[in-house]
Amino acid sequence: MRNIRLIARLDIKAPNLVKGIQLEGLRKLGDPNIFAKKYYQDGIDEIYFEDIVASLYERNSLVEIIKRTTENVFVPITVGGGLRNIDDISSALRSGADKVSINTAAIKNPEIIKKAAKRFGSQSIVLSIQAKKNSNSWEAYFDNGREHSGIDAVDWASRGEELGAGELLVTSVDKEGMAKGFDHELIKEISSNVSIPVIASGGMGKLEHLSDVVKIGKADAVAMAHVLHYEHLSIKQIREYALENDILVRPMEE
Amino acid sequence: MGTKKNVTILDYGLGNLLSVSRAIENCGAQPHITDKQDEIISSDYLILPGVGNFSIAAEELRKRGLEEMILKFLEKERPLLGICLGMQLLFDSSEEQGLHKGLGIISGSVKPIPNQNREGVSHKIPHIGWAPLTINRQESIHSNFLAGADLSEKYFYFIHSFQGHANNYAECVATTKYNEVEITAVAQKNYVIGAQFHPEKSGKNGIRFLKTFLSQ
Repeated sequence: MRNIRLIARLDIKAPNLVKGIQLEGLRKLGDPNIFAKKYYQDGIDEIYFEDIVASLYERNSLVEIIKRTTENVFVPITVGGGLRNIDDISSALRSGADKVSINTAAIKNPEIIKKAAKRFGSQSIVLSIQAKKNSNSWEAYFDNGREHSGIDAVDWASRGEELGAGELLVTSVDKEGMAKGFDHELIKEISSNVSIPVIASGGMGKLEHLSDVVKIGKADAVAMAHVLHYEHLSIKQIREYALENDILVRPMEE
Repeated sequence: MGTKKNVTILDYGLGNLLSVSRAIENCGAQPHITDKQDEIISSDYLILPGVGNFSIAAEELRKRGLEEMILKFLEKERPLLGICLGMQLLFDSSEEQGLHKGLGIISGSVKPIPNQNREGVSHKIPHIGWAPLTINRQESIHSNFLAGADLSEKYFYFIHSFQGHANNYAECVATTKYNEVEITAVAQKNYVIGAQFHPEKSGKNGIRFLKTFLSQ
């Protein structure tokens, strides 16, 4: 059996934690370090930071936030948003990130995944796929859901695995911030087509959504933002629900 | 200087050194990230971190003269902890992308995690996630450093595609399971310890594991 990872997703518009709907209409929520520390203490499995404006304005702002997070957060940290080249990846990893996620740069130049995996190891490289549904398939988007690539998201996932990504972060642009459930068809399509772990993102609103995306969608990990930031659900509640519903997760630490 | 224990974190260009350093501080010890010979040799404890590719890491260690430093450090029977790839480097060899020579401190080899269990049920590789430790309590193990620590069945964070196999099973002091496949979680030979998981990323239990190492 596999243990499902629960991941807190923190979208950053430096210096603030923000949250939008379908990756737009952002609201400021506060200091990301305070949120990260709270989630760590409450028992989250991983933290995911996404710098949501970096790829648009081509700048990095997360490095300081990551460094501060490592002072009191002892779970894996993944960082994404605006990482353009090997140097950017290296600086994120040296600042305390364990993994980086890459979307825009990989769509523009897929070889960056290969190069980065060779240099830093596949397990440090997450291919981030932002998928939007067309009639009966999904298209990969970039620049935080603003630009479409013409690439089929499911094909892109397989290509990412071939290039050496160690993990896939799959965000449904349609479901993101809606709190109405994940696009489990998308997750299932991708997860059953690759042999690397898939993180489902976008849509968590209530406990049943977790069950659907793991049992129907075959997600290996589940990222959530809204429900945690607005305290609609606690990590404890989510873990207890999972264990009651035969979803293996790490039990709460004493 | 005070009475804090000095812990050298070996810098050879690989691994999340900052996080290891923060975790050591959290244990109340004094971390030093360095590749300098005198600092390594005079340290109380040595940590060999590492993520990525085995052959690249082994080559970096040799190129920087650090293999020799590690062996020299061990002559005085002081504790060494290898983390993740740093643990795999302790073995004789690895099959990751060809056959490559390790440090040969723990007799055994590093092989890929099989992609299915004995019943033919497949699983994702890399193995990424939290998994509980089973402490090996064979009577032949006199010095399992985890014997007194209350870490049995506690969860730790793993992320790896390969794993170490000690030739002497008594040197495999803790295991975990991934889809029923047994994984070497902790290897130990005297003062040399290897953790396949990342204690610096394993929450409070990870800190407790590091404290146990630092109490040796």
